[in-house]
Amino acid sequence: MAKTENCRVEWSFYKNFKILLFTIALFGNQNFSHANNNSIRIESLFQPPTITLAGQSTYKVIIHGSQENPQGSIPQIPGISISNSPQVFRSASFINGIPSVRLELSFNVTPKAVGTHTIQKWQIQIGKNAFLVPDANLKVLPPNQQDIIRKNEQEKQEENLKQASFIEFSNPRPYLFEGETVSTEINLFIWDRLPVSRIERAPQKEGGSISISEMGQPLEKRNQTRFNKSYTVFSWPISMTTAIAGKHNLKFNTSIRVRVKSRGNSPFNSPFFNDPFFGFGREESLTVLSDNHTINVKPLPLNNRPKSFSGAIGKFSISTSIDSDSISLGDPIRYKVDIEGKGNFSAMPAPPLESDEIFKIGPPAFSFDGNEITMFEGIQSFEYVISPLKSGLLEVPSITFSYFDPLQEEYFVTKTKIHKINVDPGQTWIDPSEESSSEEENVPEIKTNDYFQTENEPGSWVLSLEKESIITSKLFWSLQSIPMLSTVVLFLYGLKRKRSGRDIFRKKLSLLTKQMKDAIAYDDPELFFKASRERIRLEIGTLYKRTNPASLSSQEIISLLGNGSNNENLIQEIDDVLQRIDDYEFADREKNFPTLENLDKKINTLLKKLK
Amino acid sequence: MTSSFKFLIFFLTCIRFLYGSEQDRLFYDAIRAEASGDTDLAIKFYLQASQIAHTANLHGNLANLYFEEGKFGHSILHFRKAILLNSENSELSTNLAFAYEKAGVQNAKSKFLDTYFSADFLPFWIIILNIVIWFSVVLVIYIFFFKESKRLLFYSIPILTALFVLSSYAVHFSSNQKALKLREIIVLHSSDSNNTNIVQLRRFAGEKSLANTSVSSGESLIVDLDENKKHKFHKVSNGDIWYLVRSSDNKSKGWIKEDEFGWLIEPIS
Repeated sequence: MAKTENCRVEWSFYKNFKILLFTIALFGNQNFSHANNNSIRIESLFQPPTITLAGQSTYKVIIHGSQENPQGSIPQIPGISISNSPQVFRSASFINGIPSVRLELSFNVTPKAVGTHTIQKWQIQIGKNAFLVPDANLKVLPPNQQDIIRKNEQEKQEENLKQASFIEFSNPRPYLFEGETVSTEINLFIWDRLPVSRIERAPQKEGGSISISEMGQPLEKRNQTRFNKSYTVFSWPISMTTAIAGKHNLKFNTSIRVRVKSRGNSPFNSPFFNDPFFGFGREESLTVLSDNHTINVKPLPLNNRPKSFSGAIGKFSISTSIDSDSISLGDPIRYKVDIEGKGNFSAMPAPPLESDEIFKIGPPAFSFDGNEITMFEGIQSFEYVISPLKSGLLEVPSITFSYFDPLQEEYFVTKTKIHKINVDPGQTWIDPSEESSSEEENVPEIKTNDYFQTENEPGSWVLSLEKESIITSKLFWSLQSIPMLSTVVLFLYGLKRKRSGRDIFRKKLSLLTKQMKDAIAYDDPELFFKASRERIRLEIGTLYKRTNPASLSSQEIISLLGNGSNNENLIQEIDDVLQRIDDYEFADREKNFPTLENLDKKINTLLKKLK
Repeated sequence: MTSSFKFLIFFLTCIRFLYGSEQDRLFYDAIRAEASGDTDLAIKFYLQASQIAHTANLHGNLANLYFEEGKFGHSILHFRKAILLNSENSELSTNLAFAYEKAGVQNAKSKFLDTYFSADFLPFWIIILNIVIWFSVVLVIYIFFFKESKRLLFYSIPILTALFVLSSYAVHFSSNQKALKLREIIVLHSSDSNNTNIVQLRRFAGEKSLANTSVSSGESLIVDLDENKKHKFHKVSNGDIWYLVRSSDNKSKGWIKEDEFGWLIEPIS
């Protein structure tokens, strides 16, 4: 019955089958694509012809006698899936001296259903002629034991990866009320065998309409067992406050860093079978997710909602106290309202307490005694400073406080007790502002006359309080022209200098001087004399503006020096040096020379004296 | 001084009074109203003048009047505006400190970073960055064309890079401070019938929403930005506009109604 159903579905698929056109990219030698219609023969087969449901086969179409690109639409068969992109193989050979060509198209086939699947004859176009591709059968057997084992292993791998690290959090109640705060905790489970180097960040919420309190430092619990594995659990206590009624999805994610051995053994592939200890190589980030939770948020009931209700949801008790019940007129007292219990303290406004003709009441100071991050359980205190405006036995008015209990689903109204204060008239009442200044007798009095002097002239007007940015100032950009112009001039001058002979001369001179020094260091007279003569030629030739100083002979150099205002002694000494160089080069290498170092010093001295 | 020069001075003075601008007229009207003891009228004239243009003296006088009326939030707002225009006036700073004291608001102590990388220092840091850039360009040209010294290059590149990074950071920090100033508001008073000095920051934009926390008159808050980098606000059905604000230390956050605060620098509409 199930098989019939399956076939029906597959037949429907077959009806909706879109014709697949394939065109094989042109490549190969077209000389081999010659096709004689009479000699073209087509085969088709599955390889292997019998597989299990978990295996794969190849549908092959072999064209003998042509290598031309065929065109056609391959029929789709219900029960098997045939790939769109075939592998193409061309071959040419000589059989008994007769040339033979062949084109082979291979399509990957994945079985979907058990049974024998037949691809019926179908038409193919080669050149201008149509040919029929013969039938081919594929037999698909039910999955064998090996397939089942492999599938189970794969599922187990996936399950193990999920169990390596996961987030758990629980909604304490099946449904919540709008504006309600509940306390819960988020637990990050990390398998002890997972080599985690650090938790990259605290879990983050996914999903709106529910706010959670800030996450502080987690509590660590070791040796927690789940799924027969030992875990370390990091817990973040949080409070969760709902905002809008309705069903809201909530889940958490975080990422941890784990050490992996190599890229091939990534934890995302199979950390447990390839490399159970993950190795000690590089680190990778692993995203950890919680299950998706649906939070049902109900609106607060409108029935029996007291007028004094200002949004407190939870279970509370209220108490009040005063720091003194007997004071003098003008003395302030502290009136403290403590609300204790569990609930949405973070959304709780101060109880309304207004000034009247009996008491002047200042704004309250807030304080919370409990976990200030979650603000779920503890004592919220509001401290008012009350100044009596009359003397006598006065009553501090009681406060009406109402809240909604989400467990009993009911509103509750409580009233605080009335405190009686005996206020004696004392001295004549004076304004508290004046009182405060008189109280501070030891403190140098602030001379308010010196303050708040009215200016009688308006000063200079501006249209906006926002100061004009220097970036928009024309002066700023105008001033930029000075460094810009200087830079351009410097650049152009440098460029001109670089292109002129001076730079080339300097470089050549530097090179020759270096060569001379190297020659002295390695005691190489040949190099030294060669470099010295080049240097003398270059310096004297450049000084007397000869276009090609390298071509000057010794006689020409001496005659140039004679044309200048050099003294005879200097000319004679340079001539002597040149003679020594010539002697070394052309004749008398055995002759005694002064050391190269002394000669270098002499040449330097002589060249400096040139005029 | 010749008689003709004296006449010219007199003539120019007359011209100034005859053709004084509207904001000048309103300012002097306010001075007269204040002198006659009509504080409310004086405030009205000052506010009208401030709609046209601003001066430090105008906002200083306005802040003084609000202080006398016990409206410390307004007083702090206008002292801050006056100091924006004349930050060197120590009298304004002292008055502001006194107003903070009376309002019971803790004036944030200026830190080193806030002082030397404040919005006021932005032009200074831009000029420093500018000098560093030009100097670097000139030095590179010099080394390339005039002095092929690897040692000079070796020492100058890290120094110039460090100077560039430091001055760029300073410009960036000061720009951020300037941007924050454009989003700064001062809490004035609650818009309910009691008109108290405690203003509640709501969890949602609406009168009936629960309060997240409360702030006092004179406290400074920063308006959040939306995804388009505009002030984050919500217009409710009755036309009220609510802004999402937070304290500079991020401890208090919530929605505040438009008439419960004043902009330090009015946004350009």
